[in-house]
Amino acid sequence: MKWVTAIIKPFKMDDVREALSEHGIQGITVTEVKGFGRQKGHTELYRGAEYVIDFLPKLRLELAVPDEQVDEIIDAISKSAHTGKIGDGKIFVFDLEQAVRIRTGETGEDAF
Amino acid sequence: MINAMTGPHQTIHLFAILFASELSILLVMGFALIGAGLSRTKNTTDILAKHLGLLATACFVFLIFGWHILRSKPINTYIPSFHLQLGLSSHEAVVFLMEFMAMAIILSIVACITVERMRIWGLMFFAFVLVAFILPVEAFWVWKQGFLHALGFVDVSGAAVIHLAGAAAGLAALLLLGPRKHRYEKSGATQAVFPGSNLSLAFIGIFLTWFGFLGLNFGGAMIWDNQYQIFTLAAVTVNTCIAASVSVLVAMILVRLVYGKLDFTIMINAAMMGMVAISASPALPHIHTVVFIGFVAGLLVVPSITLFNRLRLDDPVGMLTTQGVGAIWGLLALACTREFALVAKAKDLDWSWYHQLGIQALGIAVIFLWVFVTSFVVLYLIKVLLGLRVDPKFENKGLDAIDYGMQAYPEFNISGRNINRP
Repeated sequence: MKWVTAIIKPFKMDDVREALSEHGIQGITVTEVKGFGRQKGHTELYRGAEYVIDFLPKLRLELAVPDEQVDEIIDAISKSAHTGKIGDGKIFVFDLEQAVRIRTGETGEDAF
Repeated sequence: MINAMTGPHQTIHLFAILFASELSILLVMGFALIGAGLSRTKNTTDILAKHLGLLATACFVFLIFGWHILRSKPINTYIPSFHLQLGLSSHEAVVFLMEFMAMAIILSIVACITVERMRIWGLMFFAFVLVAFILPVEAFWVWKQGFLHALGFVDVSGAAVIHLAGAAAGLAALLLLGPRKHRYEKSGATQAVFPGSNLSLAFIGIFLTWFGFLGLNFGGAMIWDNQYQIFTLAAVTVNTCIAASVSVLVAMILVRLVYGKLDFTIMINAAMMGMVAISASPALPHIHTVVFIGFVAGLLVVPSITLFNRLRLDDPVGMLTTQGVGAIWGLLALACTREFALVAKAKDLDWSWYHQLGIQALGIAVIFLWVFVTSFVVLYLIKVLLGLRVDPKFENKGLDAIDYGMQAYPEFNISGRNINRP
């Protein structure tokens, strides 16, 4: 089992959700986050004064994926969240030791 | 003027002034909303509380102190006197209402310029001295039988007495307070900028301000300059709208050319600037003069905001620009208009435009220096005795948390602190 975390552009959420549903993903968790990457934010003009926006708004989505599905899920997120412009985001994959569905007590991939 | 009339004429006249002064209160509300909209949410309760507290101060302190300076028989044209005499006739009541609104508007300007830093009690004490003494004296010079009035200084609806005085008092406070914490601490091309938190509020604010200006400019023309009559209502209202509109359009084009994008907050300032500039003489009969005054006002907004920013005068609402520079432009422009030559001819004055320009400049200098210097002294005393500014150690918490323990938007974000706004 793998735990996939993706940081994406907020307006790409619907595309990503659709792509993941097509691959049979049963549930994801989404959080509104702020952060910066290699560009370190960007500059804006307010009343003639230039300033740096240090943290840009992004969405972080997290989902548990069976081992054999990891590559296609990564591929689906990459394609659906892609714009080709700076700030498209990142995908991180972790090993997942255990999963439990609280209501029934099912464990492992059955709990997804 | 009002006393000389009788019957239905007088009733209509009284009603018109009453209507104008009641509209003027919308200016206070407009300024409060613009101030709240263009500052951070952690200071919203504070700016709203200040405006209500200052409106109350303006009314009560003016009733007990300032009003008597304005209506007592003066010692000479420079020094007014003070005789306490409570009780108002209905004629006096409408004048009182209009003049107390003027005081309230000045206090609102000061509150907006010092937003996010000044503690409310220091501001309330300052407002007390302003309304009890400083403002009635300069108003006496222009509105009553003072020396500026005698010289022929023209300020029909309070460009100098209200707006310039407010900017001067605000500037004195700003110099003693300094900028908001972190605002100019960054070195390099970029600055730490705190964008306005709620532009929808600022939008409602500018419309209330616009509405209020229609009343203020008209009421001012009726009360403070005796040559205007009730039939000027339409002219004043239309001229105020024209000046504001032209100023907005010019500023929009200029902002787009200079910055490569639009800035809504500067558009708000442009509208205010046009209305302040025209308030020096809102009943001008020639449309092209009004358009010209609005046009230059629109041109002045961007350079003026940039200049104050360069000078590190941290004025989030831009009132130094709109009320200060706008009033000065309006007052000076007046001397060069053809209408003015006609007025001077009618009054049999030995008139030349550069002579009038000199008088206007003198009036501007006298009012600015009087309000600025006395405000500076008073504020300095308050600073020593009571303190003016929020403790920098706690400034990041916001005045709402420090003075009120009451957030304007408690459900807005869980941490109570936006990550992009220190």
